Amino acid sequence: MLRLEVVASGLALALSVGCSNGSSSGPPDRLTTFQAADLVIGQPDFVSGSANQGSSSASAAGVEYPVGDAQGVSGGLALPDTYNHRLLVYRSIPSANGTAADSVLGQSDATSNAPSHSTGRFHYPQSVGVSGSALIVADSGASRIVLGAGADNVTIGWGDGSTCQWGCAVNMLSEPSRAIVVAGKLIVADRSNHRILIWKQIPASGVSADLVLGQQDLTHCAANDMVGAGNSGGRTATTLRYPTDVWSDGTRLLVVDQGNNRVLLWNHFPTSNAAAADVVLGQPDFLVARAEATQVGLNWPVAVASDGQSIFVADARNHRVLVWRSFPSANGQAADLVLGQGDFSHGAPNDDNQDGQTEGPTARTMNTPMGVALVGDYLVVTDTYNHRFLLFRRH
Amino acid sequence: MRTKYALRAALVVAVLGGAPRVRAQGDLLVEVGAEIGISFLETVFDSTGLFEAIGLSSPEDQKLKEIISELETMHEDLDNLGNEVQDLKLILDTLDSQQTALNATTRILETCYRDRLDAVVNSVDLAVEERNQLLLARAYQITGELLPPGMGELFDDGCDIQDSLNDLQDAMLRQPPNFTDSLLVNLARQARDNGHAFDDVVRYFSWVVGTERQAEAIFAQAYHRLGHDHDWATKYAQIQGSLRKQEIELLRAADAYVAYQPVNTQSSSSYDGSPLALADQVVARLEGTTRFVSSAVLSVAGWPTPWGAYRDTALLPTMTQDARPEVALDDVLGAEDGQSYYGAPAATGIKTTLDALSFPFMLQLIPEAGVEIGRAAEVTLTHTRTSQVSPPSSSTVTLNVQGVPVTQPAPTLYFRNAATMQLEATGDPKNGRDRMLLAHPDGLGTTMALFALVPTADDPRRVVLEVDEPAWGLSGVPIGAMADNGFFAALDGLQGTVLEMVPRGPAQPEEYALRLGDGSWLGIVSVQNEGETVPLWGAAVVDQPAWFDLERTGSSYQISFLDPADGVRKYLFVNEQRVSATDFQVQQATLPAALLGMDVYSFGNPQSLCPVNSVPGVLWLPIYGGPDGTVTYTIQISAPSCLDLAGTGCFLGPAPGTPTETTLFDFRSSLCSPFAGSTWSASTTLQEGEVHYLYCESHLACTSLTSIQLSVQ
Repeated sequence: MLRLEVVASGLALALSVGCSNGSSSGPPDRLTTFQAADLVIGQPDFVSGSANQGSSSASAAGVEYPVGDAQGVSGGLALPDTYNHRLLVYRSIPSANGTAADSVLGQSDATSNAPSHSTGRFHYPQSVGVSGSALIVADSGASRIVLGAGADNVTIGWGDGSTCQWGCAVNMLSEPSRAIVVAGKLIVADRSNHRILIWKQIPASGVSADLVLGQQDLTHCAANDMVGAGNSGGRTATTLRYPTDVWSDGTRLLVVDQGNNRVLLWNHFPTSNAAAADVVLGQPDFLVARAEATQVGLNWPVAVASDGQSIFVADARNHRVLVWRSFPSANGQAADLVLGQGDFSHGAPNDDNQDGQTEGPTARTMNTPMGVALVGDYLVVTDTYNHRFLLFRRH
Repeated sequence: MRTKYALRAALVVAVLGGAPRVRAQGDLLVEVGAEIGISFLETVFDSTGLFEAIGLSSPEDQKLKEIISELETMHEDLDNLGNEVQDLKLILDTLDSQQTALNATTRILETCYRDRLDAVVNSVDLAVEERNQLLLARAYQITGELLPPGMGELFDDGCDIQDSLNDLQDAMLRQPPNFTDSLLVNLARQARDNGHAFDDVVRYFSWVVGTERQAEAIFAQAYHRLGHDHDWATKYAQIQGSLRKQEIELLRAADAYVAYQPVNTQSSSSYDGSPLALADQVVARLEGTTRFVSSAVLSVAGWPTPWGAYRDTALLPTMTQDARPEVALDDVLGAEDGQSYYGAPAATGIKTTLDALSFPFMLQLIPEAGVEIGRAAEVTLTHTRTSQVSPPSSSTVTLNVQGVPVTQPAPTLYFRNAATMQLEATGDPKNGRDRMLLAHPDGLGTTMALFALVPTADDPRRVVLEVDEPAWGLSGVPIGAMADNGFFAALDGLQGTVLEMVPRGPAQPEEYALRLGDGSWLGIVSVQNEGETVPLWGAAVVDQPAWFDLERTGSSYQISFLDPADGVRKYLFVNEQRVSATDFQVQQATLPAALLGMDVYSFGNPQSLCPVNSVPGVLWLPIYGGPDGTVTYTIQISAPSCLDLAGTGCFLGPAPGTPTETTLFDFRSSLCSPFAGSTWSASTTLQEGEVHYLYCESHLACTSLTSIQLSVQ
């Protein structure tokens, strides 16, 4: 356990970090298809689904369009409350539905929810991670990665300046959606630049990345730019289109290639720009990008998590989470179970009776899930359009 | 033409879902329309009885609209057919007129020189071989035999020689104007359209002019022997002038034959200059010289951008060798050294003659510095002829002309009051133009289609739209709302309007509505008036949120929205006109209807995006399955040019949207350095009644101006 000091907007929290990237393997999970969640955060119960619990203002218990992955910290939780432009912090895993957060990061109080590009503030924060003793946040709307807080705060992505800017420069980002630190490396899903940036060590502000995936070099940022021409040329094992999430155990690397409806797997950590992925999930090969609700297909995946053995993918527009019990060795490998739907062929939101029609939310349905995380014994699903987090006990 | 209409009918049937009864009536409608013409269709359009006849009860039915659209296209086809019939009628009438004139000549000869007729006819036959010294001598001989010295002006049978000669001359002088009424040009087009060689045109021409020249020789001798040499000098000048015009008409006909693209095919053909050479030879012989008297010259004219004619589209023609550096065009094209047979070249003539280019070349048009060119500009090759003062010893230019010039008429331009969007009256001043925020499927703003969203200091959600205006040397020009709900770029005293970006939701991460401070929204409204072909979309204040797609492009945004009215994505741009403080106007062009209804589409990337060429020109096109279940697509690069490596491609999907998400049909190609080809085709199977959408996008090199034609069969 590491002691973690997070300071934002006048808040100082003492946290310790556990399960930093979910890569520790544990006993086999007990998840089953269409399993009901054990706990809900953001809503008072499983059948409510209004933003901020129906209030016109934010609160410590409600959320609005949370996007991205949760993070376990010190036995508790850090959650992205994206449209309230803040993070919610729980000192322990809640034991009851609708539990209010212990702290709020990014806002001066629990009811404020205006965005800001100032230090300690957020603009559409997506996904929370940890780096050593600090949280690391993909502040998407501000096109930056915020690492730590207070005196140790590092802003990555604003070039060499201290004002908000975005672009395709070597030290700039465009709507990043995820940042993780693994084995000392900083890995960023630079979503709208259609690339994954990798720093071999935590950089200071303004330092360009050491490696790029999805592009031929650090100066190109077009989607599916197979030859570095600056234009969309074709989809291959080296290209990306709106990558939204990454996972790594230091060796293997998973990237959610949202716009191509696939998840890419590198079996060995890339060491050169535009390294080709080894395996693709969601598609039969690297050249197509079909959107399907099947046992092998995906439709606009957003997030990925793994414990080193299983893979969890938030398949947003199929309103489900797919689970692979093992890492795939071949392209298009079929998933083993599904959450949010009764089988692999259904894809409607909040469809508890599986009639293909949308009803209200329940403990086992989802509406556009856009985050998955493994926190302690739980799988935490960011159920974005139900404005809630679902916690599924795995062990 | 019958086949074409049958295809139309098939499309109509496909829309109707393939019901046999409906299909039969659709075919019948086409057949009847083809037989009895336009008036019937006009009646049909106004007849609700038709709706019932084809099983549709509501005139508002979407399918019905599509049917009407197809019928309108057929209407146009019938128009075209009517025009072609008129052309043929003109030719036939002219031929009749000429035949009458020639018959009159023959009758005079028969009357006055009956006993010499055989000899005259033989001479006419020989004249087909064109005039030469042998024929000339023969003509003198014949004339001498007809009019021996001492013969009076009157024959015993009452023939007045002078009157007869005048009649003959009048007949000859009347005929050249028939030629200059484009008889030969039309004849050449018809010959090309029906697969006849240009030789047939030359044969007809030779027959006519040979006769005339034989008669001319006869006249000369007749005048001489009658002692009227002075009168003949005057007549001779007139006749020579007419004959020279005929020669020019032959050259024009050869040009037309080469440049004319048959209407029955939509494919391009390789350039074949042999008709030009043949015409050259004929004229050279008629002029009594054995050298080449003309050479083919390219002149280049930009096809007027149908709506982008906000300013003159000055073009700088560029010729390049295939995969080689550009040739300095000032050394290639110019009007100075050519003396045209029929007036100065329309655009640019030859300067040092094309024989300097001993290699295949590509033709490009690039804008002159600081001048933007709208989309879909076309290259039209005009073959102009010039007399050569010092003709080269040989000329072996190979013109690699590919593509089909889109010969759409220039659009009609309208002016609207930019605030009220009402059509300007004729008497309204037109010297003011606005810089209004508009929308169009092609993003017509040239350089003013990329926006910056500048946040306010206190709230990143609250932004002002800004646009660069490099043509005016301005950057970061804010866009503000005027009274009467119009949005403009930096009018005098106009402040940028703060707009709150309201996201649609994380599942649509690029989509925002833009809310004004008073709770109203930025929206796009159509101001199409009744009877106009293409509406204009202008930014205005609306009551309900409109969802814009804010796509990051480089360091800017391209802003578009999916128009729910027609399912077409439209891109915001700022009209790049200067501002008048008192009379804000916007210029609107009416798109030629043929571009809307025909099965050939032209599109290209907006030059406005240069040098950022990551945003392609796009086209969404509904594709209907046919009775045979096969639909073939052909992409054709209209003008040879260099595409960037991203190439051009089409995708087929079940609905308009992001094409790569549901790609069923994919044939991207990449071509550049060297130019790898001009046409790709592929096919897929769509059942009758099945509708998919073909999405095409073009990635064109910044400096090239090329159109792409998509042909669907």
